[in-house]
Amino acid sequence: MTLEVKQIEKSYDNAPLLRGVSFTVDSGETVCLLGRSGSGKSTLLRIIAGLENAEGGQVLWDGRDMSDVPVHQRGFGLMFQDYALFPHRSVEQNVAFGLRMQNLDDREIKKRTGEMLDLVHLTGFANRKVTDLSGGEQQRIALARALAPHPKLLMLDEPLGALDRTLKQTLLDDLRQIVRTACIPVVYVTHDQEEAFSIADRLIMLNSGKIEQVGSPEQVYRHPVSLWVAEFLGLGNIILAEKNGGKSDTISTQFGEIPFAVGSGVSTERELHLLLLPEVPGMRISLEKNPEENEGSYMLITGQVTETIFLEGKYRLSIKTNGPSLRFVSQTQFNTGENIRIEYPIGEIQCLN
Amino acid sequence: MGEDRYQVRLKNAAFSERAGDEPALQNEIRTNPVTVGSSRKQTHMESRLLHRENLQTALLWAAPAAFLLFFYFYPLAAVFLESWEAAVDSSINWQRVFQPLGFTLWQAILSTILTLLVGLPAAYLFTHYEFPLKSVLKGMTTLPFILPTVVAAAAINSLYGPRGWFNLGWMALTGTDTPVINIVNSLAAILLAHVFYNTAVIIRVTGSAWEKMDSRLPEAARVLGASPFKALTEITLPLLLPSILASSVLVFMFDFTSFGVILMLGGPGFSTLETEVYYQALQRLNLPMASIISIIQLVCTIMIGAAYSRINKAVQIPLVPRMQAAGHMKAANFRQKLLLILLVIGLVILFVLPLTSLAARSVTRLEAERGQRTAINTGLTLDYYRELFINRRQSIFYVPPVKAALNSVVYAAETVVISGILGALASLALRRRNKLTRFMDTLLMLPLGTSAVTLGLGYLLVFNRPPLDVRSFTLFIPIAHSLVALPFVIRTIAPALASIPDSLRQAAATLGANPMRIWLEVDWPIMARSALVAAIFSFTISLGEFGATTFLARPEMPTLPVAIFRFLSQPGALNYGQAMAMATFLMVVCLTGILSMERMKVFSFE
Repeated sequence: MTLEVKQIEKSYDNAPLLRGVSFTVDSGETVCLLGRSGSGKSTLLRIIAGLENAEGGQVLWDGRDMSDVPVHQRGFGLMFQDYALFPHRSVEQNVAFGLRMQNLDDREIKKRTGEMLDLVHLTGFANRKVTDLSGGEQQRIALARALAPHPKLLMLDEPLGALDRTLKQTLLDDLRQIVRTACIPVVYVTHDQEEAFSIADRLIMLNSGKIEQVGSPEQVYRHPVSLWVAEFLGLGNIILAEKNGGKSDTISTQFGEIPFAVGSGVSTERELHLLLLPEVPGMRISLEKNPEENEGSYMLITGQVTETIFLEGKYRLSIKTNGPSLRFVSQTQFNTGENIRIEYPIGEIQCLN
Repeated sequence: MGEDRYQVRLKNAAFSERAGDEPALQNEIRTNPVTVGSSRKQTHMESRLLHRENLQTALLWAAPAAFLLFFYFYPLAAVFLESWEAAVDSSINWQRVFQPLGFTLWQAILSTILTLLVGLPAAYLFTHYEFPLKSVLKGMTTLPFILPTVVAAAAINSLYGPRGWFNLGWMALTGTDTPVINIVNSLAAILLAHVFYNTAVIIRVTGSAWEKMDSRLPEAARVLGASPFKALTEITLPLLLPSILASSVLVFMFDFTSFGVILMLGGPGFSTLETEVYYQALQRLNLPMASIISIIQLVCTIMIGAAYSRINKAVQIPLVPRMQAAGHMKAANFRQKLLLILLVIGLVILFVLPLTSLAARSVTRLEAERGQRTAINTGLTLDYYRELFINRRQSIFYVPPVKAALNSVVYAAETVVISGILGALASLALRRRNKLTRFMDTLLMLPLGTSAVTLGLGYLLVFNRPPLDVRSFTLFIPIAHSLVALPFVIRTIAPALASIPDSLRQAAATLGANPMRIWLEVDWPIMARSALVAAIFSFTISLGEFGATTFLARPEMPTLPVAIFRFLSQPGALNYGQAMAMATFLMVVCLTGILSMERMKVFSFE
């Protein structure tokens, strides 16, 4: 039970939309396609579902090319953005639709529809009109409808897009649980990184039609491969640096010279972007008035606290330096206006492409 | 309702984009600060002011009301009375009533089904595919609907008639002298013509619902395992059903009340209620019989109209509008391309070909003229247009066609004046929204729901003594046309007038303008465009009106549509050619009017 997407190409209005996208999804795995709106994520889902044709590449199911299989025979489930519930049918009829298409007998349909409604915690909603449901209820019905025919693969297109934040959180927990129990490959499309991080086993970062990075949420967070990924995820502080010519294997930053072989990533270009995460092991923050010797394995940043926010047990500091403004997370409190120094372990500095 | 296509335009303002702002207008009128009848306690002063305003409104309504009473209700009452007397008298042959009723229903049902069969695929084509010249083709399919019926009938005749392109072409190719398509004077011609001019209704009404339907709904069905056919029958068609029903009832109504097409293409062998009224009244001079049929026709139209408004009001399923232009695709694979090409070819044959063949036929000689035994000169010619100016027969009843055109223009101008004055009065009165106004507004719409033939019959019954004698008083034709045009004029002028905020007039007054100057400097410039549109509207309505005119036009004073009808029923290639020339002329004039109205977006004051 593996979905394999191979070198998919697609253009829209003569502009390339997908440029050779390839990935695989295994049973029980949730893969999240993360990218800006307009990056071709939804189109990719539609191509996998068979609603649109790719201009190049293949969609394979267990090694079999699906290009000649029409949409309704693929057995892939797709939950549409804004749900696309049938407005002329009741909740029960919506959920039962896929089962009816399989020509199951009425008793079986009734039974499975009931199970699905239980699964999404909407028991007793069977005879309601879908147009009378709230956004969250519609979302659950759409999920039940997509899951009812036991699809081989489940695709979700921005399933929580239109919902408010608190509702999103509850639904996300439910969704994760339901999707895990279904034990099928799941492709989840979103532009919201929080959503992606909380549901994905694997993230696929899609940038202007190309895959920028694939990895577990932790890998992507800890080691973004490119400037785009770091910026898109809003990971933290990006500073400019310049490689020093000649034999000295160092780069100069606004915060002093550091050795070239920084934490991860190598770039051949002279201009570099360095990523400083707001919170890394070994980072020390202290008031500037009791200066300590710099031990050499740290980059020293000094600046003034312009803002401090207490969130989830930690302090988020905005710091005005003589270069760009930076953000760090501290375990201890610092007040606005205080001058502080940050010792950032050089080993944790990442070089972005 | 009957004959005239324009009547329909307003009645169904529901599906014309332009009509969309009408409710807004009514709101505006209601929320106008001068609105009367508020619940707060009125001071003496205010109530006097109110009284004066109500009086003003009543005075403004006086002329339109008198007009309606005398030229609409009075003749209609006469038809009722006549039919009542006839019905009491047992000598009526009811067979003569039920036979046309049966045929009217039968042809209307058949026509509606065929129109749906053409209209639904066309609506699908226009809402789902992008292709070159799409907007032109879409415009051409709507065109027949807004042209006068005589033009539509003449266009069908120019293509499939015994002297049309197909038959003469076939005869020339094979050397035979029998036409291959004998559809004129058959049911087929009636059905073809009805499809020709009513498909636009399906395309507009169902098409706009289809356009608004979320294209992901059928896609969701497909993903859930529905075949394309299942997705169509389970999702798309049920969702479109209300609009399909509404447009079908509308089409049924037009087919049921069709007059010109039946008369010109069905011939004497077929008679519907409308044409039977015509035969009974004008040929058998059996006015009681004509009245009975008229009343039955009226009852039927009222019932169909009621059915329509019920369906239209029926709770519609809220459809999430789809994203802009989503689902408009280019044909990608072979099957889609084939489907698209076949649909486009079909629409071109059905809609574009007749209109172009009409124009082409008016400048092409295809056969010998009568009495010409020598070799036939086929080819391009302007003879048919030249002949329009010549009175060949030297008979007072056969005026040269150019005279008919002149008559038409004079009648149309008179219609513009009459409907313009009455419409302006009514529009001014409509600025004050009260009980009387609402009542009058509804009343003025009634002529639209009445068959023009019935109206013509009523005039024959009532106005038969000098000085108001149909045979001598020529203003009856523009008067009947004005009844039809008035609702359109009001619907065009009133919104413009209502959109002018009172503060503008007050500002002008404080700056020293007297009421006359205010009208000239403020109101008129703002609503001039609307007035022009209204004028063009009534002009083209009058130019194309056929039903009432056949009853009211004296033999020596025909209008263009009447002349086209006469020339088409005369033998001879020259007569036929002249009918084509006149129909082409009428088509071009109406088209110019319609297009210029489309271009002049009615000015609205924001």
